Amino acid sequence: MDRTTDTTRDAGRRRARTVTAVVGLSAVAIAGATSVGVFVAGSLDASASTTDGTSSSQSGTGTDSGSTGSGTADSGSTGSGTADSGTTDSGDSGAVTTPVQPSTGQGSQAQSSGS
Amino acid sequence: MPTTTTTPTSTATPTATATRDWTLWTTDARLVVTEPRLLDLAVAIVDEVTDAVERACSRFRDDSELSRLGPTPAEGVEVSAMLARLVDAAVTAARDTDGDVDPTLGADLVALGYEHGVPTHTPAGGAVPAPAPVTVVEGVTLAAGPRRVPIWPRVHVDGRVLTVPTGVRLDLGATAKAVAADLAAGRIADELGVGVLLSLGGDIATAGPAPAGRSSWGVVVQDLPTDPAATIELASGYALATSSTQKRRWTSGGRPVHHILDPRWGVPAAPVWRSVTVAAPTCLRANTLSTAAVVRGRRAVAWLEGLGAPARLVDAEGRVVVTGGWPVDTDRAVDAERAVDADRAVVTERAVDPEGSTRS
Repeated sequence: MDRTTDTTRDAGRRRARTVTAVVGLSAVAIAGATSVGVFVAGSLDASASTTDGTSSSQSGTGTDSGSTGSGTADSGSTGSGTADSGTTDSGDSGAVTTPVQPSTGQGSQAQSSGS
Repeated sequence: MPTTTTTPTSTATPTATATRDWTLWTTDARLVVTEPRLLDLAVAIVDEVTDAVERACSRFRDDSELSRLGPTPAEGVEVSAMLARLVDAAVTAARDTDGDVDPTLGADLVALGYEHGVPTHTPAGGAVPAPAPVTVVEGVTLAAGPRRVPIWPRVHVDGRVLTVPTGVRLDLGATAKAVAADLAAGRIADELGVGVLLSLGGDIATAGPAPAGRSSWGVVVQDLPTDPAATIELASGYALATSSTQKRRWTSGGRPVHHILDPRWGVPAAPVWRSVTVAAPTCLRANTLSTAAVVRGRRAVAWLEGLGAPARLVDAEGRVVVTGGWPVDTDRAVDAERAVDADRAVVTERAVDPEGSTRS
């Protein structure tokens, strides 16, 4: 199952966006490019192809304590266990559904927040 | 005091939903069922399940089964089916996250002052020792003491026989709440034949059909009232969990801390994310991923994306990052961003606000 399909569509729908990229550990900014690929989980998405020529930095802020110390116990970024079945692929049609969709405006029954 | 509301879903579909709100485990519980006349029976099921979970694993009750095991060696102890199930779920969460969700942090939480259900503020130089901190980031104490050796791989459940290394104090809090939501929602749907949404402290499980006239449940995703909010539709049968570094904050030894610990150090995880919300087929899975994402910090984005997990992460600046097909359109109030932090690439999108100008 190609889990990147939905991501590709999302990116395609959101054309009016600034897409900037930093590629490589040396943090080389791509500036002024006319097309920027979106690297998502090993796939290349060329549909998000707008640019304003600016460079970017990673959106996260703060300090990741995982970057300190040594050892390899935190290298589990590949994940394990069951794959999330929250994304389903209907096959030839290419239609992808996820368990989370935009609001339909019919109101809400609950709130999810930390506790 | 519990409150009950009954709400028609629409004039075209006279079937109503009924809602009960109450306080549970020092947080809010909400139950919504698609058949109002069965609300009381549904509440009774929730009470039965949550009572059983609390009696099995609460570390805030001296008479819980887990508390009675105490710090004494518990190797090869036969436990109740419920406790075995809860420990098994916790160990599964640890295994699925390479230990980022760790059930063996009970002693660390106690050392930080989180012992009696509500964290206890302790002044600098107080009686409760805190790990030696070296820095405070975003108002939360971090530390760089000795790296802990993972203990959770030595916690085993074989049938109903529980093995825990000597002196280890289990804390099943996060996963137990999620398991309770899954169990209760599943039972309500199965036994009463109704659609159900159950929220235990914001960890939401759904089962059975959605409310009449709808194919999903509407859920507002928002941590603190000042945080960016998104209203989404959650397909029935799926679950949602939010982990927060903004809730359950207190001072330990005069220093600010929160309750999601980085197992590598036994201290609060760096608050890279204010909150992380994940959708998954079960609340246990959703809670596992959201908790691990908080612990993983920036690395969480690529990890969740790789899993295909629909998630919404709010960073320390209030910016929203989504993965796995989580819709961004509902987050127009803030910069909606997608960031993929693979080992060798980082891509950031900045959304355009409704007026059409790029926000930065």
